[in-house]
Amino acid sequence: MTGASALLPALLVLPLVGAILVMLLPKEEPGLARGVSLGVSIATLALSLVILGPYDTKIASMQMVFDKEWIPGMGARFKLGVDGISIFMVLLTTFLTPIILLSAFKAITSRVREFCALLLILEVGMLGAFLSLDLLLFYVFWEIMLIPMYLLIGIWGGQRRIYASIKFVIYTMAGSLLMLVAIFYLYAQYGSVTGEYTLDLTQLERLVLPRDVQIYCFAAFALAFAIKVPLFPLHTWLPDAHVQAPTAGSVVLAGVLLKFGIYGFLRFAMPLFPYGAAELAPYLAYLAAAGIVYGAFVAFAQSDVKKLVAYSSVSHLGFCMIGIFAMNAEGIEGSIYAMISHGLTTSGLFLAIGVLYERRHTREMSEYGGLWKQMPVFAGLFLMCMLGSVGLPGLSGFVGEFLTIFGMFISGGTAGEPTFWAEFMPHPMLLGAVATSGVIFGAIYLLYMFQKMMFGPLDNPKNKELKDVSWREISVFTPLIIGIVVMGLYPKPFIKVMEPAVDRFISRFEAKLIEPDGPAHLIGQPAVASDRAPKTAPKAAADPHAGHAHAEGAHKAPPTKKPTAEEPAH
Amino acid sequence: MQKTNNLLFLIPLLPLAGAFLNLFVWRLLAPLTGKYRQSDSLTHTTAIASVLGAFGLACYLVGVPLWKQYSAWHALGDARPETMGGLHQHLWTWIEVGSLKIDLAFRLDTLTAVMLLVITGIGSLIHIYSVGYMHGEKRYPAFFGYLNLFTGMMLILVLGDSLPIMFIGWEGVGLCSYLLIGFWFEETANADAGRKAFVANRVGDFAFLLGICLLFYATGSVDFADLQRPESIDALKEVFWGGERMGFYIALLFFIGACGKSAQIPLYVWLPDAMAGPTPVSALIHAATMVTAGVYMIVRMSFLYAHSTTAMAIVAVVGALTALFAAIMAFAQTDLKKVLAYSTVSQLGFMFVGVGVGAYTAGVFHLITHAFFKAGLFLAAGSVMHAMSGSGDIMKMGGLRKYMPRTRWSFLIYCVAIAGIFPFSGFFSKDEILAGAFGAGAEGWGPVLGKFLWATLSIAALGTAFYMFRLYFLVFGGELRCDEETKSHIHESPYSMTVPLMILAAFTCVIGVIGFPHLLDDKKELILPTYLHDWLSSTVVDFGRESLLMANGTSSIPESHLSNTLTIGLMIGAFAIGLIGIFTAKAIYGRGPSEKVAAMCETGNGKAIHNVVLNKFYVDELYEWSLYRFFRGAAKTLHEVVDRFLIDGLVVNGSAWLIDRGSRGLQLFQNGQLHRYLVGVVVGGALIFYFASSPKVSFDYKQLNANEVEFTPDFSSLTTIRGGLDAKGATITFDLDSDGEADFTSEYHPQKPMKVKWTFGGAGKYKVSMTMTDAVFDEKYSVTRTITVKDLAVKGGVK
Repeated sequence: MTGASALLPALLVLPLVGAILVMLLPKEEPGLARGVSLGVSIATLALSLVILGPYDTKIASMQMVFDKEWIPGMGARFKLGVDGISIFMVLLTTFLTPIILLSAFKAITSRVREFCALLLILEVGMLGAFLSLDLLLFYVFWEIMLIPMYLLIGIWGGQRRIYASIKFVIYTMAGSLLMLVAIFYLYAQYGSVTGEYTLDLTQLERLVLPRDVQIYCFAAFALAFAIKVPLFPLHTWLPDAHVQAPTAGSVVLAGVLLKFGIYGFLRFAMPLFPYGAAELAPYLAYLAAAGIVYGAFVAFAQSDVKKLVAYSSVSHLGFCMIGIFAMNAEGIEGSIYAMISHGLTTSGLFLAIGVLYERRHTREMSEYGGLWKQMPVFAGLFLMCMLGSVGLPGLSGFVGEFLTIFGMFISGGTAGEPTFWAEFMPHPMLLGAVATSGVIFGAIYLLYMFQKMMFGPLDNPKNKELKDVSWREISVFTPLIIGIVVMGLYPKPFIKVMEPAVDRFISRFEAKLIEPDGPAHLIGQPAVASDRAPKTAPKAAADPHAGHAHAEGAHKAPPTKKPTAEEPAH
Repeated sequence: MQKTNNLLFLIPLLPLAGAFLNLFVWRLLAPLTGKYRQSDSLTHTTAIASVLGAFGLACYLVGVPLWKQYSAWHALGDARPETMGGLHQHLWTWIEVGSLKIDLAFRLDTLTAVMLLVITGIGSLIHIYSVGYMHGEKRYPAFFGYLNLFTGMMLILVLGDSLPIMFIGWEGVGLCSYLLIGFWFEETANADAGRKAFVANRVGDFAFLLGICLLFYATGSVDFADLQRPESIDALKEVFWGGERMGFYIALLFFIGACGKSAQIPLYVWLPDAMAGPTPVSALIHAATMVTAGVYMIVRMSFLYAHSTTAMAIVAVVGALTALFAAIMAFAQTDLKKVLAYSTVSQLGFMFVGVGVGAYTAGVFHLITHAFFKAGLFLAAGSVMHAMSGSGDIMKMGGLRKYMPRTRWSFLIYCVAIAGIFPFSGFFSKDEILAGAFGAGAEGWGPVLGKFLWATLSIAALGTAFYMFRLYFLVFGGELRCDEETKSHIHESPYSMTVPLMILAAFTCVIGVIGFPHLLDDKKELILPTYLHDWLSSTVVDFGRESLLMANGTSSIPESHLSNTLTIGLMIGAFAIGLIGIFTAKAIYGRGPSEKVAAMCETGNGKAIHNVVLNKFYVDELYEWSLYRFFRGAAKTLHEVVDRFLIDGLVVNGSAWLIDRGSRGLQLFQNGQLHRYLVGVVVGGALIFYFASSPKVSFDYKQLNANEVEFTPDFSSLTTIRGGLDAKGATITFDLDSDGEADFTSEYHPQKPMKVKWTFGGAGKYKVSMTMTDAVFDEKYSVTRTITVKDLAVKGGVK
């Protein structure tokens, strides 16, 4: 453990201390609470940028790992680490938090202290979940996030906030409980194979479960994550939560929380149960493609602009899902890229809606119209976020969308060279084409929204007194828009950081996928059909990374679906 | 032999920088000078300087380094390579993931050079013209900013060295088009028109993106240089689906993309509406440059189209039909700019026929001449509308020749050119396309297709001459028909507007010299120089009529030979068609709107036909009903029925309701009354006893090979309820030949799945029974099943 590894726990401690500090401030001075919490969140952002220093972009595996005993009796550890996938999620979180706090300066006037503290606790939860390398630790953070979010909606939300917040919590809980069951099953299986009981992800990843069990376990994980994504048809909590949440809540929800769905698939569900993932991938990909189109259509039917943007998330996250099930570098990196980009553009759209809501207290599109004339600067900012979301080339949205579509299109390999995934993903081109149609529909509903609000005659007298954005509001949008443009024009450095981790993810996935069928065993070890054999099972290798080599010659029972595995059978 | 030139990036960067200054920097700096908004002169100086700078740089790069390379290439004679690399600049790698690598790189070859000069040259004139036209506009900086942004994006489009980079420009110009069409967004109709343009273009972009993906799937590359390698070309020739080549599908997808941008059937509907934008925008974007991007793209991808004659036929036929239909639709329009818009659609159709029959040079030639005269027509129209207090209704014009002579003479020159009158530029370019179509004949095309294209275009050309002169006579001929108020304001436009008109008119007169017809002497040598063809042949491998002089046997399109007599005959025919159109128009509209025609349009069949044409064949209405309403309806239905009712109502809230009611129901059992609990205990006990004592056994079977079948006992229902079995075990017997005797006996063990193999006499049905004897209670449970052994020799049997 190097000195750099202390950075990750510090990243969690800093906002936590900040939250406590904010709660200790006098209640009568909301300005102080705002200032302190903003300062803390900026410090956290700075700290997260410091991580980039010792972070080595060439290393594919986990870096700066912080590993301490947590619950020794269970084998649960307090283990944190970053790699090329999670680092972006961490940065996105720390990047958005100050923006959210700044945007809420005027919007939140009651219980300011509590609001700021909750946002900081939420940040701790999100960062913790992105950094966790222990399943139980992850689960704890995952659930911790729910509480501040529940309170954010329930206290500062709109009229139906109670309904929305309960729906949000129950929806999420319903999924994650099954995941907990699967986690314990995995825990027990690993223990019975190796004789060691642990919840350490890097250890558990080496366990190959029997194929049908993998399907069940993957399904349990997938349900939890698919609800979070949200994958059609598990998305109906999202519009309610968004519409009822205050602007800050919507931004955090769209900007970061939804990403846990995709991140969970990449970090946990797919590496742990590759065969299950492979078997269920077509169904999830079909749902994602359907969700892209469905989300776009339903978004178009909305009259409430916030709901429209909420449904646009269903559509956009569909691209991310398509990307990860393309199972190639293009698709997965595109998916991560699309997540970051969605975090910027959709946050921008929600903030823009917040700007108008603060002034007019309505989100009905028909109440607006012709605002460009009245608020030209705001119109420009809104336009940039909208175009980023539409996926205009040169802005961030395009890169992710294009790569996910592209990845899915060639997920079975190119004309001459099929890949291992060709066996599992039927009709990738059709899926790619359906997903691509999202570019048409995306333009339809977003342009429609923009036109309804910004173009046309300025005929509503209430809109004639609207003030253009203040400097504070401009400074909220500026970092987002800079991000959107930079990520659109120069994606290379971002992609370069992801690349090693994603390549490692794919090669490990493939290696584990072709493991022989049979009872639970460690990767690379023969799958012996033994009755209750912790005694005879091999002990865990000392190096956790040693075990992912291909199991040469270990094909006792060739799997039914793997082309390369057929050779030893004949 | 590609040469690196590090100045290329400046060409698009200059206008982009101009846009950045006008849209952001000057606006932010304006308060420093004590003014609320930036000054107009600063705005247009920045804008014009940036485009002129780009034009100057383009002239230099084309004139010096590229020309040098071209002369060297040309001097090689027969020994020269098929294509010349041109200038190239690599800026940075845009995206690099897995096997996909997209460089932000520019190339300037002879094809790009032509586009560059048209865009920056005509673009500069239109920028200058806008100074007068947009004078007094409140959002002056925004207008010039967008115009500059457009120019920059268009330059990226033509300079891009790979399809994705081209796509950046492709979408960028679409965005600017959207913003500029809806520039006066206070009118809902204008904003609608902008959105319609963007969405129609997006339909094309959808196909473009899929085309990129499919092309990569086939060849593993997306940049132009790589795609022309022999391996890539071979991949395009592979049969992909339904007997058609890979190249066909890719070409078709890109053509759909081109249809969106270049307003061809069925995606042309946005262009007439796009006239809602300011007139300089119509001239620059919707006549001279952006709408020709589709033609450019197909010429750029000629290596791809050359390998699918079917795709080329589709391009040509769609182009010809568009040319004809748009020309007809132009007949009944009464708005000056609308007529010109349909004319643009029609002329783009001509260009697509040109590239579709493989006469790429002809297509590009018409693109160039059209850019001059159509930009001129729009600018002249703007000048007229400027004089007419902004109205474009040609029925209220007439006699303007007296008031605005400079505009009138320029307009007349453009009209003559577009009608195809010798020796104006339109004559040469249109003739080349007609001749190309006449001589076209490729594998699988049959003898008629080329003639059909030629005939269709000839009728369209007749229509073109007619509606253009109808327009001319209604605007400038006859007597003035407007009210006094408007009349008092009529004036010739300022020089900033008319000088660009005159420059464009001058070019319209002479630009035809770059492409003389191909007449051959006895030695099969060209009599007249064909500059454009020679220039482009260093980039575009031309397979059509012009491949006469380029021995190219690899193409799937055979060379077609037209004799001198035929060439001249076709020219005379085209010329005559133009004259007929003009004189017909003069006869009918020479003195203003014709009453005869008006009367004809009011009665019987005439009225019906007029209505159909006036309403543009009701295509917009058809789209409105079939697409827009469908989309709206589907959106509403999905939202109300699927989202609200099914998912949220039934499943989500339904399950909550169920739990709520269920828990209330269960409360009844928890009422604290002991005797009810006792009943529960008794009933429950009885149920457990019942289920536990009637276990079921079964077995599965699987045919292994010819007659051998494997049986696996299934105790899943048994072991869970009578858990004791696990410990004590049981005896399993199988009777496999229906004789009542056990053929197989074994002790059951829970950890070792038992498998029984048995060889049957042959295919057929057999009765098999399994018996389990419980070791604890010594009870017997049996099951009998009829199994089928399949004959594996028959196809479709079990593997």
